[in-house]
Amino acid sequence: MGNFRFHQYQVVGRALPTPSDEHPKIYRMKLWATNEVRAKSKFWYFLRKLKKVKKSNGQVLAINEIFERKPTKIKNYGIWLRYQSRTGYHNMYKEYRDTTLNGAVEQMYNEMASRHRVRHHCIQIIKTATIPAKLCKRESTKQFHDSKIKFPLVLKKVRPPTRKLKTTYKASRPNLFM
Amino acid sequence: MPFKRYVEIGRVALVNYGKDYGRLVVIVDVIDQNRALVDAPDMVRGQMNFKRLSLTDIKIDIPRLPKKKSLIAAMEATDVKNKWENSSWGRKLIVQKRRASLNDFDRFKVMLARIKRGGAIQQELAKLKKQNAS
Repeated sequence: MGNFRFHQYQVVGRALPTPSDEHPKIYRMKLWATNEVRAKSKFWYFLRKLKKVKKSNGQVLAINEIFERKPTKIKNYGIWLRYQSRTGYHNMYKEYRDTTLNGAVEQMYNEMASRHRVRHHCIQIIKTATIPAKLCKRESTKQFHDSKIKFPLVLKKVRPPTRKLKTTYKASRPNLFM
Repeated sequence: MPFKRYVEIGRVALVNYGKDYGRLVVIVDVIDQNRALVDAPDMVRGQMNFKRLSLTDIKIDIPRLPKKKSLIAAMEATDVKNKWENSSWGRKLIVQKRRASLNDFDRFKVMLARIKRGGAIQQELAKLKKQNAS
């Protein structure tokens, strides 16, 4: 399971009650952030864009971290995102195969950074969903939908089992054949 | 030269890096190009990078994502533990572990045993030399 850089939080908040509006509507958002403080800040950022409420005249009612329900089950995740490139904003749909949603989101952030040079603060996750195998669109995820999957590992990279045993020079060249 | 050991469901692999170093695990499913879902009778099913796995010759017959009970039953049926301990790779690891756990007295005993063995070999060699010379 491991520690993820991005955690999923559920933030619930509303505007502060005023004499004219005793029971303001309560809004709930699920978002990804590295910690709770950032999650609350993100919540207000998005809510400001959707409703006429700010952190100064609102309150966060609850913030909970959402954990993966079945981390031993492999799922195909589809992530819809909006990102800012050097020339403008674009939407994207990406698919990942992973055991947890946090893992898939972390894969997405890493892939966007490497493939498109988009830093994480320029990415907004619109929607995530687990996709059943029939509805996957990308060949790179569909190629693993094989119940009799079989492939060889081509290169046998010999690694010292701990970093302590690492040496700069070796007496002989390693044999990479499996 | 074709490949002989494939990553497939039921392949037994040895973990060669990390926290679970030295453990025998079974590949239960493939997540993507670099990772597999692995399982062993005494651990929670988890993902592992192929770089941390060394594939062995042993393969057990399981469907994709078996329940823990059927995994243990299949491992008993193909007798993974005995096959591993009788294979040359498995035996080497057992010997390495034994040698690493020797204390000073054990190492002294090993030294005496080696001298004795060397003496016996030299005697036989001397006999054969004498036979050859005559």
